[in-house]
Amino acid sequence: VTFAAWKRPEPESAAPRGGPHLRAESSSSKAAGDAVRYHLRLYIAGKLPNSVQALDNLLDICRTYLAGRHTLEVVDYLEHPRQALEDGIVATPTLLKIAPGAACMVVGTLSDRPMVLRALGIGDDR
Amino acid sequence: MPEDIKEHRVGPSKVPTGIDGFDRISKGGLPAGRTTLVVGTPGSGKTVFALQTLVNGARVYGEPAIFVAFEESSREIVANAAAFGWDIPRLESSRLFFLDAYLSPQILQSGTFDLAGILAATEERAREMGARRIVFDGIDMLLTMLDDPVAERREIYRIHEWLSRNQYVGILTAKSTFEDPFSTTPWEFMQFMADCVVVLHHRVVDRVALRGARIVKYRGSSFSGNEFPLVIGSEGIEIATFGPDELSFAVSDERVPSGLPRLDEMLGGGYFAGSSVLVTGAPGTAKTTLGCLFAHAACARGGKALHVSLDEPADQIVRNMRSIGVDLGDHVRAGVLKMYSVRTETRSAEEHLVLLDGLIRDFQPGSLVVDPISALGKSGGQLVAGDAAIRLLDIARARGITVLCTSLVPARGAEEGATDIEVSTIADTWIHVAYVLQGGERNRALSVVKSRGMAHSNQVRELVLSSHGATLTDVYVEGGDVLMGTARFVKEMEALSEEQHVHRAANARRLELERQREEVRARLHELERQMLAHDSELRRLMEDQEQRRTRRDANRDEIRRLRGGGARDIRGVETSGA
Repeated sequence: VTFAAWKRPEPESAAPRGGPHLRAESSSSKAAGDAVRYHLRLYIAGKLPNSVQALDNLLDICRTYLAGRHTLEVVDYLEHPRQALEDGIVATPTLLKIAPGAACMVVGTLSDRPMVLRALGIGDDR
Repeated sequence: MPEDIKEHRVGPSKVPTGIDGFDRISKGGLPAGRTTLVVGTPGSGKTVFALQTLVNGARVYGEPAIFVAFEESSREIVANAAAFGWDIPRLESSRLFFLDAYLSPQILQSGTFDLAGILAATEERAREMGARRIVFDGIDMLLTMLDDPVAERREIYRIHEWLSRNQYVGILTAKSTFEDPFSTTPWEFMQFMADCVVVLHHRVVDRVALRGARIVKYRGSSFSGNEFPLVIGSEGIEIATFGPDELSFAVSDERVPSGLPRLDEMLGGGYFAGSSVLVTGAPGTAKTTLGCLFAHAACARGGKALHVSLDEPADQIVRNMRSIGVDLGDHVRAGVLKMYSVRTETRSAEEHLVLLDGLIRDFQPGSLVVDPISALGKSGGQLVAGDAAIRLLDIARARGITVLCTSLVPARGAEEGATDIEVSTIADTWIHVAYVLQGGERNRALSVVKSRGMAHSNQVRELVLSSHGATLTDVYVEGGDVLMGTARFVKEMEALSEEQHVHRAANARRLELERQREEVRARLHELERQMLAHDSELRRLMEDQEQRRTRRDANRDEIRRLRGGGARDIRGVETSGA
C-alpha cells in the first residue's frame, strides 16, 4: 500500500466531491476477518512543519502496527475550516481516533510513539 | 525617531471599547488594526473586559466580533455574562460569534502543535460576518499546553501576525499570578509584541476585593499610566476616572433651602443649587438630621431627593425624624423621596459608587444625601474610599444635583473638623457640628467652616432638637465665653431676673419717694393749717385788744367825765401794764 497520494492530494482523485477529506483504506484480505479495524482521522494545517511531521509519524505507525486493518482520513483544516471547527478541533495537528472504542484525541506531532500507541489502544491486543 | 514623532502627532486610529473610563484613560480606546494584550491576576475582569468590548462593538458601533475562548467553554462565558444585561443571545452568530478553542484535559498531547487551523477557521468566519474585533481569551491556557518557550513565542507571533495582516482589533487576554506580570517569562516578550498592554489587578485589601486597571504601554499614543479603580457592576466593567479632565460644570446662583431657616440665613439664603455640602461631626451630632431636613425641604418644594444611608436602615431614620416632627414617610409614599440603605462592608467603595451611579441615573434626583460618606472608608482602604467619594461628588455635580454628604469625625478630632475621607477640600460648603461640653451637659454647636462663593456667618449657633423640630439658636456670649444649653438658659434667666430685680427696686423706690412726697405734702398742709390757726388766733387777739382798749378808753372817758380830769395817770399805768 502506498500512502504518497495522501501527502499530496489531488482534488479530482481524492475524496468524494464536496467531501472534506482524503480517504484511504488499507485492505488486506487475510486480516479482514479477525482483527479490529481502526478508523483514524488526522487534521492538519497545509504543509506546516508540525502537520507534516505528524502525518509522517502517523503513517509510520499505521505501517508498523495497523497494516491491513485501518481507515485513515486526512483533513486539511486550511481548506475545510468549517468542517474542522464543527468537529471541535482547536489545534493542528490533531489525531482523532473514531474507532474502535471511545473516541480519543491526540494533539501534536505524534512524536511520542509509546504515548500515541497507548492512546490508540495498540499494544493491548497485539 | 522622526517616524515616532509623526506617529505621535497623528496618533493611531482608535476603536472605542465602549467602557467609558477606559476610553478616557486610553484617549479613545484600543488601537485599530493592532493587538492589545490584557494581562491580569485571576478574577481581575479580563474576560469581562474583552467580552464587553466585543458586545459594545456589536451593539453600539456596528462592528461584528468573534470571541475565541481558550480557557472556558463559550457556554460558560455567556452564562457568566448573563447578569450584565447585554442580551448576548440576540447578538450571537450574526454579530457575535463564539469559537470554542477550549482544550479539554481529556485531550492527549504528543509533541508540539500550532493554531494555524483555528486561525484559518476564524478568518473565514470573520470574512462572512464582517467581523473587526477578535478576542483570544485565556491564551495562557494555550501556552501552558504548549509548554515550550519556543513554541509559545511561535504561536503568539502567529496570532499577532494574523491579527495585523487582517487589520483586526485584536485582544489577547492572559492570566498572570504576578502583580507585575512582565517580570517573568513568557510575558516579557508579549509586552514587546503587543501595541497596547493593559494590566488588571485584583487584590484584597482589608478583606474587601479591589480591582484596578492600568495601561502600561500604548504604542504611538499618550495615555494615563496610573492605576484606576475598576468595578464589575451590574452592566459590566466600569473604570473609575475622576470625571472629565476639565472642571466645567454648570454653575448656578440659585439657592436651595437647607431645611433649617436659620442655617439658610447663616449661608445668606441656603445652599447653592448643584453644589456639594459636607456636614461633619462626631457621632450623635445630628448630621443625619441635617441631611434629612435637606431632603425633606427638597421634597417639600416639589423636587426629587435620593437619600442613601450607609449602615443605618431607612425605616429607622424615618422613625427618628418623626421624633422631631419631620415626616419623611409622606415623601417616600409620594414617590419623590427614595431612601436607600446598604451595609458598607458588603461591597468595596467603588462598587458602592457604581451602585449609587446607577440609582442616580434611574431615579434622577435633584438632591442627594449620602449619610455618612465616611462609611465608605470601612470597606477597604481610605484612599479608595476617598477616590470614590470624590467621584460621587463629580457625578452629582455633572448632573446638577445638590449633594449633601455627612462625614463622621472622631470625637477627639472634632475641633479640627478633620475628615478621614478628604471630601472637605472639594465640598463647596462645609458645616461642622461639634459637641460642646459645659456645665455637665453636651450641646451641639453648629458652624459654617467654609462656603464657597457665598457670604456666610462666622457665628457659632446652637442646634436644638425638640419634638417641634430643629432650630438654630443664638448662643449666649458673655465675657468672651459662648454659653449653650442649660448654661445659656440659666444665664438668660439670670439676666432676666436681674432685670426684674432692678425693675422692682426702681418701682419700690418710686413708691417710696411718692410716699415721702405725700408725707411732705401732708406736713405742709398741716403747717399751713397751723399757720392759719395762728393767724386767726392772732387776729382774734388783736381784735380782743382793740375791743379792750376801746372799752378802757370809753371807761376812762366815763371816769374822767365823772371825775372831771386826772385821767392821764391812770391811763399811763394801765398802758405799761399791758
